[in-house]
Amino acid sequence: MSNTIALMVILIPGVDPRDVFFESRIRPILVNHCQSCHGLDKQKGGLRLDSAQGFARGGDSGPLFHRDHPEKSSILLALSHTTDLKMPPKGKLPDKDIQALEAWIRAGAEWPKDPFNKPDSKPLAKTLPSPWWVKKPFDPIPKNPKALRSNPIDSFLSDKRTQIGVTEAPPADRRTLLRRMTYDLTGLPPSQKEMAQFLANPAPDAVAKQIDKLLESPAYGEKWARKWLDISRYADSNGMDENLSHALAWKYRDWVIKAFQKDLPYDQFVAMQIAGDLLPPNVSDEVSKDRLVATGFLSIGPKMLAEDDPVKMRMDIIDEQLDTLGQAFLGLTLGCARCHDHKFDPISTRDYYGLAGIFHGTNTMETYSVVARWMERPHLAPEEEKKVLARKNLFETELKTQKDLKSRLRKKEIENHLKQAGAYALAAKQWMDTEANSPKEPPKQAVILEAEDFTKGNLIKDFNTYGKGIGVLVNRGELPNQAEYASVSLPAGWVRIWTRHAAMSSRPVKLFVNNNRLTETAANQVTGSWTPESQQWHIAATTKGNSGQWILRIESDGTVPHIDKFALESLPSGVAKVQTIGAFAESQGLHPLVLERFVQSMMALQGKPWVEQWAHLVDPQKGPLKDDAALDPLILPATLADINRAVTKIEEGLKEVKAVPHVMAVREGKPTDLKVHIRGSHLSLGDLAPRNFPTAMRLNQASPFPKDQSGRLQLAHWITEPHHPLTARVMINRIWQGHFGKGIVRSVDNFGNLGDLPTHPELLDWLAAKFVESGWSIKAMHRLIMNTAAYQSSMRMDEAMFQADPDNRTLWRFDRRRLDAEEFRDAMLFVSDTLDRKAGGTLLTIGDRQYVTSTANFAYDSHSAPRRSIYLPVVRSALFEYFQVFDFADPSAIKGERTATVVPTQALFLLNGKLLDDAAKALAKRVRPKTNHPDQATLAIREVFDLSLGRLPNDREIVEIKGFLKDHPGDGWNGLARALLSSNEFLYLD
Amino acid sequence: MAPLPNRRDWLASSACGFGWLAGKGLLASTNSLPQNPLPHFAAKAKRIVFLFMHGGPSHMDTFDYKPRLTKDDGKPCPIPKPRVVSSETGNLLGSPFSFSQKGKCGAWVSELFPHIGRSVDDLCFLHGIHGSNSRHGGALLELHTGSDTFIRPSIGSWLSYGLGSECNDLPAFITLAPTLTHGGVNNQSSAFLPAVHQGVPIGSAAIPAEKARIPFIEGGPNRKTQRAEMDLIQRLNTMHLDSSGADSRLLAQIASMEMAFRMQATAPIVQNLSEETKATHEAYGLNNPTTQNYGKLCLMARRFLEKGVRFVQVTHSYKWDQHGSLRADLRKNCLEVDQPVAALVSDLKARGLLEDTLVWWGGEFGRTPVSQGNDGRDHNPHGFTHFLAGAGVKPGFRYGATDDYGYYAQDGKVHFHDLHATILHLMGFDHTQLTYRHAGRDFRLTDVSGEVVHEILA
Repeated sequence: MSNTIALMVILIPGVDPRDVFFESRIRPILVNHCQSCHGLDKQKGGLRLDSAQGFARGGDSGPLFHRDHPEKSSILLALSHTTDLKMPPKGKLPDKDIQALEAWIRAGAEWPKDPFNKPDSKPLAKTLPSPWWVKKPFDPIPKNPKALRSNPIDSFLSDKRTQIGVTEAPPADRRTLLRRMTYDLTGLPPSQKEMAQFLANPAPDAVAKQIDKLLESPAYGEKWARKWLDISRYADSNGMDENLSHALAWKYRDWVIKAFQKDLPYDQFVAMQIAGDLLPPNVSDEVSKDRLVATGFLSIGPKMLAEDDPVKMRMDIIDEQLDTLGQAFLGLTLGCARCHDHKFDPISTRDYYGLAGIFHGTNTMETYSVVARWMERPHLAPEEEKKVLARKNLFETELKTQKDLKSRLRKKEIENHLKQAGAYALAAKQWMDTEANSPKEPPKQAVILEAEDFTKGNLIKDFNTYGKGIGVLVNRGELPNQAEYASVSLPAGWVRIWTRHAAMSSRPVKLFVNNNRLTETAANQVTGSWTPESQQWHIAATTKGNSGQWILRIESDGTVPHIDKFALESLPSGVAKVQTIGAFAESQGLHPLVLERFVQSMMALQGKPWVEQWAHLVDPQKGPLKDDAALDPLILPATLADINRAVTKIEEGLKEVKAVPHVMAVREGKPTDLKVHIRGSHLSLGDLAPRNFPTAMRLNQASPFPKDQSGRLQLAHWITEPHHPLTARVMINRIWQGHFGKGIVRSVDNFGNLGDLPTHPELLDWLAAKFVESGWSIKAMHRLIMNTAAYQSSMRMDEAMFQADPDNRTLWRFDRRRLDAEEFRDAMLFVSDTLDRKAGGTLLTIGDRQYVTSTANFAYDSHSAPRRSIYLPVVRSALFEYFQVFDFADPSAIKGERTATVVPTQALFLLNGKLLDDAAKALAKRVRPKTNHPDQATLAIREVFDLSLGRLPNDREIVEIKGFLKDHPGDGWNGLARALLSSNEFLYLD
Repeated sequence: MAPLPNRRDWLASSACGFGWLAGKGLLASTNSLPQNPLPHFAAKAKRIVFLFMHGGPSHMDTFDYKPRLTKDDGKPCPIPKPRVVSSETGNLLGSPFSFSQKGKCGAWVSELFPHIGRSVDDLCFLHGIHGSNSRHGGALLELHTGSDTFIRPSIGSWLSYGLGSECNDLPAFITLAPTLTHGGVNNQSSAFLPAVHQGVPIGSAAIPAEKARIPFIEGGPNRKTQRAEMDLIQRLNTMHLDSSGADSRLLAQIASMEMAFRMQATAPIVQNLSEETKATHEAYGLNNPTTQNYGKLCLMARRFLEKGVRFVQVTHSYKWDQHGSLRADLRKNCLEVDQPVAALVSDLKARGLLEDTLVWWGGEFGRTPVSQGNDGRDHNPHGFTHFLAGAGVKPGFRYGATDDYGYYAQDGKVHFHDLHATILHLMGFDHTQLTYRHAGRDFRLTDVSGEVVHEILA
């Protein structure tokens, strides 16, 4: 078809030659290669290439054509297949087509004005959709409802109920109410004593007083902080690919608990998490230290630490931060705008990169090279931190000076030795000939030391993979690696020392005997692989001694080969020729270390032409004398010793500085404005998107971003503006959800167009305004919400009302809920009197940045501590199995509302779980009667009901249970306790 | 008339008990029975078994024959290496293993896979598979979930969500001996899909096949005691229900207890391989110490598939990462899986199950044609081989190719997204329509990409 068009155009007289070119060369390409995805039927990436308008408008990721600099047009980049954005995706166009398109673009990309140019049937204007809160800005002055009940919340709710003809349920009984309030505010059931006191108090303000009392309990912070930790996707390990421990993350968790306990105003709570390190000074040291901890919010997310592309890693981390921040504080899915303008909400890619720039100017990580390291800062007040960092800086500068000096001296020595390369090569050859005649493995009578039998040292013994069946040494990670062995008795005289090791690349170690360093290149031979079948014997050194006692030690400042054994071979005194390579070198006037290196190289190159060998030997970049610290001994010993003494001293100082307590936190980096990343790829950049807030929510600020700051402080101020359209609304909705199970906006993390509309918009705004008015006091909001008839109502069932409002959107009754994973566990421990109420600190038993999980094991499995659930470590990818089964929030992403699933693995836990079994046994022990008297049994049954369910059994239940105890094949009381803890009445809260 | 939550909540929260509720007439008031999205068109495959080779098996030493690579062994690589690499590599390394053509279809298979070599006429090789990430963690996640960056539902979870379970006493998605690293549970997680769709792990890479169990399935009191306690619990629950008024969640919980009780009986039976004949044991290599572990897992997988489990993954753990010791270790790995995999394919075929069961074999990436050290290969996500067999795919077929050295997929390129789209297609779904709304977006397994590879469909 395209060819026909081209021909027809040529035949029309008076046609512009540019049009001829377009129709004959360009349109056929567009028709044949582009329009199936970017045309009338499909508009992938929001792009149409069948009209001039479509072409001019571009796609979701911006314009295709750069009018001022056509050569920079993004379409050319896409066609070239040199970046991530490759078009057409299935294969590059033929060169002649690309050339034609290039020519057309450079000439200005003109489309012909002719009848073939079909009009674009799709709307052209790209407007971003507005959600309800854009149309209804937030006014932080509360607007009271018309008819006032004692609590305006009830008035708002009554209005809605009246509209659909339902009425409020009668109040819940006091027993139910106390259980409800206590679980909601503390995550625990009331004790028997609390229940008795509450029931005995008829005062009209008893409920209000009880709420105050519960809010003052430390358990309140432990319950509500956990809710925030779901939102801030808290975890004690990184998860993702490299699951390293966040051994300092608990400080953030404890800070959140404290913030709730102290009722830290929510605006400060938010600002501290975004920019705690940048808030104005003049506060106590304690507060400024807390502010640093709070920024942990930005760094505890899951991060791909082994992404080979550091730029992508950085942008992925920023994306994770933005996505969490958007949903947590604003109920906005900002992450959707990374690759294209948000499809449903008013956030363009420009808005996205305007925010991303703020986090690009923030250092969340110390390095982005695999395996990347997240930032940890000294946990100190600013002035103290500055001092510590200044000291660290000073030490590091000094260290560098010393190391530079050493390097300069070393290089000079290397040059000198290279001048004698000929002599070294000759000597090496001579030594190799001697070696060739030496044995391949130690004789039977040699003394064997198993490498893993060291008496002192820090290397890891591996018996499973690299050391399967034999046991070998592998790295410890902390340098220097070392191992020392028990003294071996061998006659005085000459001893030859062997190593048996496997290595795929050369990893020399230092070998000492009786504290004399014999060689720096022991076990340096490459044997083929790291695994046991490549184990080989090699002679490491020969030495002479008079004591008859030989103490072997190895040391390495780097990685070590996989050493299986050592052998000490006593050499007969008559062997006069026995010599060490060191002695041999000295006899030739050469340096032993250099000679060792030459020997090593020439061994590796055996068989190659001599010219090639020689070129390698004298190559200063790749050859045996390639500059590295291992060649330090070439420096004059006295000078070297001086430098090393200085280095040791500096390193001690550095160690001291590094030993101050640290915390996961961010730091200001280089302020940056980013370019739009087309389709989210850093390899195809579009226009500059200077740092800014999303256009739809600018709040009248003019140029808020100073050139010398990241902009986090400005971001924190913007989010916590009292009249921000989202911040107060989103949080008050979360608090509401925490009491009623559902939010007023049911999609608690999404206030966008795909979220739900508020069921009671006036109520939401009244509450949000009250929230701001109270000084952002979360506790004031609990009081306000809980002191309502709605919160205190029963679960009364009514079929007509159920028909009218099956989802209970008008709150015509109170909704039953299942206990969440933590409440269920803590309650089991509580009623069995085994709960340890100790607060704070970490239970993680593994060091910072260590692997928590590997292919076949968990390094962490002790979730057995009887502490409150919030203190149990949250290990990503290896969650506490019980938590996972009971819908614990996956700590990889924000979760403002947990689901309560019913799955058989829960029931399996109820039937077989050790946690429940242990609690049941402890509960049974509390009540089991001492005698078989029937009255005692009745009393015990009453007690176990009261303890576990907060009520006494009725007669029918007593009869059932007595029957069970009589027939029960095992210990009936344990069985009864297990049944009560597994019952729906225990698991569900009315 | 009983109060029931709205359908969306119900879908999100219950795995069982519909029949029980229906039996009590409690579902009569709802407009329709709760249901999964259900297939968009007739499915060729009803169930899948994914044989996952964790670590990245070398394609040019197994199924992707590269004579040119052998010829140019030791020479510098004439094609540019990728922009992002995971380690430094050297010159070309020809395969140390010999290849020959197998079956009627003439597929090239190396000496490492003699048993699979005899099954090639049942297999459909995809030689142009490619992914986006060169590290295990990212690549595993992309293979399982379609995203190498974010936590998304696993393909098994999507299928469980799409199709539901075919049996009422086993989960729809089971993963045998899953790895604990490189994303661990994220590779079988339901992410934002309801938890009932997450893969139920049986054992792990750390546990031998005969000790692998469903979590919490053991450890309670003996069956008789437990039944007595269950009866008490259910009586307490019924009395509670009577006093509080009907509530579908309480009913579901009651039904779930019964299902769990049944599962305790069913799962061990499915996992009990002694019911199988001596010949079957022999065929799967259960009598040979090298093949017995993976053999047991494969045989267990067949038994789960027969029971109606939708998606069974069988992981051969992190052993395929031959940065070194290619010659020795690759041979050993292949020995461990060759016979069990071939036995599973033949067994399914003999039982008529291969007609509606899809077999899928592969790793998270392939390896480089250039050497690492003198006996190893680095990660290579740019082109490698997977194979499919059974329901709806062409048998004895080869699709796609890498370049002369096996570095990059060149023809018939199939990205993980395309593979996922094709698998969903075989299961009866249009991959662009199987979506779930979360955080303001309709998510799908293939994100915004993926095209069905029609060329391989039978």
